[in-house]
Amino acid sequence: MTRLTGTEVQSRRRLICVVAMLCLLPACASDLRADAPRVAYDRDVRPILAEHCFACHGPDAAARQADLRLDLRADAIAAGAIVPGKPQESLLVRRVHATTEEEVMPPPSTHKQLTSLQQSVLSDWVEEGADYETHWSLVPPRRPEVPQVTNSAWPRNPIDAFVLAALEARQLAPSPEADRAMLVRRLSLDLTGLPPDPALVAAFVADPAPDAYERLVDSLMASRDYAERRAQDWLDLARYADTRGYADDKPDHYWPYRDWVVAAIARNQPFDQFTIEQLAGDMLPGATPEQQIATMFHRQAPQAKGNTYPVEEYRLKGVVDRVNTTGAVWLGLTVACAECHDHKFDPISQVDYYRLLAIFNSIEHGGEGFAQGGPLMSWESPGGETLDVPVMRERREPRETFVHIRGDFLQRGEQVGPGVPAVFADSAVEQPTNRLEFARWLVNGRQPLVARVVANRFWQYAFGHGLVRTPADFGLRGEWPTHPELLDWLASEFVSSGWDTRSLHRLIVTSATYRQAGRRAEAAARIDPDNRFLGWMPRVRLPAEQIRDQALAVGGLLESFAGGPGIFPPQPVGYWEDRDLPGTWETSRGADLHRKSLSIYRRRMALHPTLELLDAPARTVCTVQRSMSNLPTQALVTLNDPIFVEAAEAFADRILREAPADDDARITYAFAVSLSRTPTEAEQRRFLDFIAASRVSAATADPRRLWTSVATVLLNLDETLVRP
Amino acid sequence: MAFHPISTDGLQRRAFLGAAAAGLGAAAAGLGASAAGLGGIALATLLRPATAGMPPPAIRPRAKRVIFLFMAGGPSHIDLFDPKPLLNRMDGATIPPELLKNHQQFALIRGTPSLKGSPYHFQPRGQSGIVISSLLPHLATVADELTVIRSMHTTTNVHDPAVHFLNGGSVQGDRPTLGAWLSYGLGTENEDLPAYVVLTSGVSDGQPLLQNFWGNGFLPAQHAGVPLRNSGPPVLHLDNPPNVSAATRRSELDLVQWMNRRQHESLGDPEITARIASYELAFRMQASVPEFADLTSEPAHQFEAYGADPAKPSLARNCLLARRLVERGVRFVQLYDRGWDSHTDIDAEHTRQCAAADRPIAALLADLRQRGLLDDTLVIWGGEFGRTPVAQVSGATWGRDHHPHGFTMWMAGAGVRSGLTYGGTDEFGYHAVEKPMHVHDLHATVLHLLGIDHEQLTFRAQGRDFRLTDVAGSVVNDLLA
Repeated sequence: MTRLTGTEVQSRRRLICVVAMLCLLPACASDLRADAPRVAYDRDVRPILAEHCFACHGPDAAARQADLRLDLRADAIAAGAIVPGKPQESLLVRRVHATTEEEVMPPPSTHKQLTSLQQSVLSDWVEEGADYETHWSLVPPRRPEVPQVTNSAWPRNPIDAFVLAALEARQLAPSPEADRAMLVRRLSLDLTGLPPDPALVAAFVADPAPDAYERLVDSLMASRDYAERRAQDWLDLARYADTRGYADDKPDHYWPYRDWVVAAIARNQPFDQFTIEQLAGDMLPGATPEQQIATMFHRQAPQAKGNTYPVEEYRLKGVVDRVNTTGAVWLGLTVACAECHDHKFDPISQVDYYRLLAIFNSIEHGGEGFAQGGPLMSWESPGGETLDVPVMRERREPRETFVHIRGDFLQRGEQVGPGVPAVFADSAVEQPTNRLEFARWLVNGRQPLVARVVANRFWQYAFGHGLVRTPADFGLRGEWPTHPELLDWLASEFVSSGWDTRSLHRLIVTSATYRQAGRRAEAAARIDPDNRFLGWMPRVRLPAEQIRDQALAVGGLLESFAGGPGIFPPQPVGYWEDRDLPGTWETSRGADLHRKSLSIYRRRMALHPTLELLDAPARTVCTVQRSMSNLPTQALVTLNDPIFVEAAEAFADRILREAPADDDARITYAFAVSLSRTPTEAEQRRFLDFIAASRVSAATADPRRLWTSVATVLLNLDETLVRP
Repeated sequence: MAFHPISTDGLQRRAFLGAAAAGLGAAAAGLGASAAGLGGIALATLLRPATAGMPPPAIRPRAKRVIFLFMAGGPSHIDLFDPKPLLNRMDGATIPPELLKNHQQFALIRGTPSLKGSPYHFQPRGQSGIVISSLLPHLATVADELTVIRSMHTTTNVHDPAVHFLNGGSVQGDRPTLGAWLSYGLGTENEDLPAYVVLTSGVSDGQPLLQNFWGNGFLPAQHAGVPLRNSGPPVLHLDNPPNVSAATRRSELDLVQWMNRRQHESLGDPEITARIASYELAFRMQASVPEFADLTSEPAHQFEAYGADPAKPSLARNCLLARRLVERGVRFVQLYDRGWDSHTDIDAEHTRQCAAADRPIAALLADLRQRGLLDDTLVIWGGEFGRTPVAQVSGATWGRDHHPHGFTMWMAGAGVRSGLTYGGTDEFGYHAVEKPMHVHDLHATVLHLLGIDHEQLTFRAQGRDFRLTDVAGSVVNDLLA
């Protein structure tokens, strides 16, 4: 499930509904509108208009046809496109129902004809008065009432009331709680990125205290591993790597930023401060070296250096990346579209875009060719070395910013000053004029998107998908939240907690929703096959780093994260050289060989193949949700990659060393270490048979060889690779 | 379908194809496989193309697969396919200023350079009279197979953005590449091999091959190209560890799958079925990949014809492997041949490159023709740009800079009008002036040859529908047979 992007899922939902209608399965078709008989503009109508009409009849002035706007009610009525209450007289309704090629809208050449369901939504909406609404995500969240539910015994916290209300509205019930061994495994993998130690599992299973679960959550969240695991998610957003990107792809000292992120999360730095320091730490009065290191967030826009790159073009590309990344990470908006033209769907004009760009356009940048670049700060590392680290620093004189026609850096349009998009004017008492003011505006608590976007991401970290399944697109073409009120409740809770991300995360993982069993619930699956309403707990394949770390941990090899420069685990010989990439991969020695994957040196243009094959992003751009594929080339990694072969051998050694010397006890031990549970009788028998058969063959009779086979099997199970 | 083990996205992507027949064969296979994995969902989505909206107009697919011979670094059109008598006569003269109008700057040349003619001999070849220089005598023997496009132009003169542009229609390296789009749009015809394979050869000229040259961009990860390695097993980690026999591995996998099936019975998660399939396919690839890569079954005369040493990595060996891959139904094979970036010594370097490329490429075309594969395989040749008609360095050794404003590519095989010379540059070989053909037009035309309307093959990402051709591109009908 997790490998589907939000977009795909969205399309699938639509498809399923359309097809279900055609197949006369009313349960599914009506599901979209289960809790609201009236057509809602924002939820039901705008997606249709955005998909089919706005490209030519929307906010983009340059692309507008027939001088008609359908995104503004007054314009649509003035043009006769809509006559409220009278679908028969509304041109919009007549044209989408038209049968001739000349008349029908959208024109046949667009291949975007409406389905009959969509046609009827439009007529119903006009009939009901054609009310428009401001897009939900642009209206500041208000803290909703916690809903009443029938099964009042189930909720453990308000989250559950929202989830249960949505299930009950569909005549569905949640799944029972997962068994305790599975709960501790789930929590441990999600919160620390590592499987639980068998002793931890045993202690939790035996703990009768009513708050045993909450205490387990607290102790896991207090661990260094928790900060390191969360840092990984943030570093995907920050496009953190050790090299600059583009063809020269030279290394730079970016790792102090990675260590800063770990430290900031470890001390649970409030998200507002976390934001301000990364976007504008250099501009804080008396900025500390750490606050300046935090600004490396935006020094990780890929940078081209070299004698063939026009300096100004590539400087601007870096600024564009800063704007787009900020849009995705904090605003959940695809502002990138407005680089070249007014946004076709969202109320972000091209001028808005360049006003945002002006905010990020005054960072120092100088030099030519290979010598060009942004400011460096001299910094003493914890190891006592003095390093020049890239940071942001504002020019004394702001650069002039111009609109670039069609995004072409050579074609300048009007000059613009810094500011937030006009649509957010209400949330800004004064227009931000620089990065610091902009960062403070983001987290002023009135900005409508930021808290929702962050809450949604923490939901995604727990359930594999956000409540909005397009985590970087809360705009008009993004998905409608599955639980809009829950999202708003979480967002307002988050802000009123003082932007406490750990307490937000804690709230989510202590809910009854999160504690459900992972078995696909057939009744729920019949009407909600994508499990959008969480009738059972989604299973999520582990990210690349956690697959390696788990194998090393199970093998007893894993070394903790120590910060500092990247480490070099074994990589196939000639991997860089075959692609003519300069530099040499010098495999680490000693403890570094087995350090946590967070430490691995990340070259943007050639990520370590073990990570790459398991879907870790190259981080050339901000990644809000990883692809999670399920491929034979991945099976080859966990079966044959020397990293995994070594882990399996070490696991075999551990079994032989630690477990009592009989097959039954060894199997039990191996299951406890790798799967956090005891084998069933049938499994015990099947493993014993496997061992007996292996002993017959000379090739596998050697105990270490034999138990390496067992270890290989255990490290390659679906159960091992997926967070339950 | 090895690289589409769970085809939920496949189901979506078929929708773009509508009636495109090329897709249907592959689609049928894919849908069968995925229906097993996904139960009712697969069937439901299967119905979409026939029921939702208006089907796009059918395009008769002419090609089923593509071999893209990517001459990385930028081969010199002036010295290979586009003779310019006036340029030769004016050799050494300062560049006419009108050529530099609306012109940013050269990549490396500074100041005002001088024109540089070509020392190579050009003559019409074959019945079609396609003009080819003396650097490519073998290609001349199959000239009638070619459609030479002399009016290509692109948007940047910097290597990696230009490579990204030719691969993915954007200077940014974060877009899906042509092979990924085809894998996404058409799937694969061989369950046991990747749909998109990348082979590399050539001489280091300092331009690295970047991971995103064969990237999937925002398409699902299974559509990324799989680069085959020149040493060791062709696919990473294909071989079992030294002390694990195939029989041991099989018994291990049997136990893995037994456990996975129990897991599926207990949890009902369709991803588990997909994982079971992935592990089986990995096991099968351990046989199928060495099979196609094992050249011992090729007769000696083939090595002779291609000029390939089976034991040595080369473009020649890659051409032979490419034929074996398309023979086995691989959708898109991209060969990167490096070393064409001749800034300072074009005579030595282009002579060397042509010596390594000419014979095998001619042999590949002849071999594909002889096996009937050229009827439904499209071959594309070219680099990310051409080279300047002015000298970057002149004297005993001389060279040319990067040139995006006019250059040559050629196509051969399925659906293209062979024997045609299309478009042209000005009399200096500088700007594409006659029927200019942008890279977007090339992409539109290639997709058309594969039965795909380039405006219909889209993927929703970052809030909008992306295409390979962005918001541009026209099918060049003159190139179609």
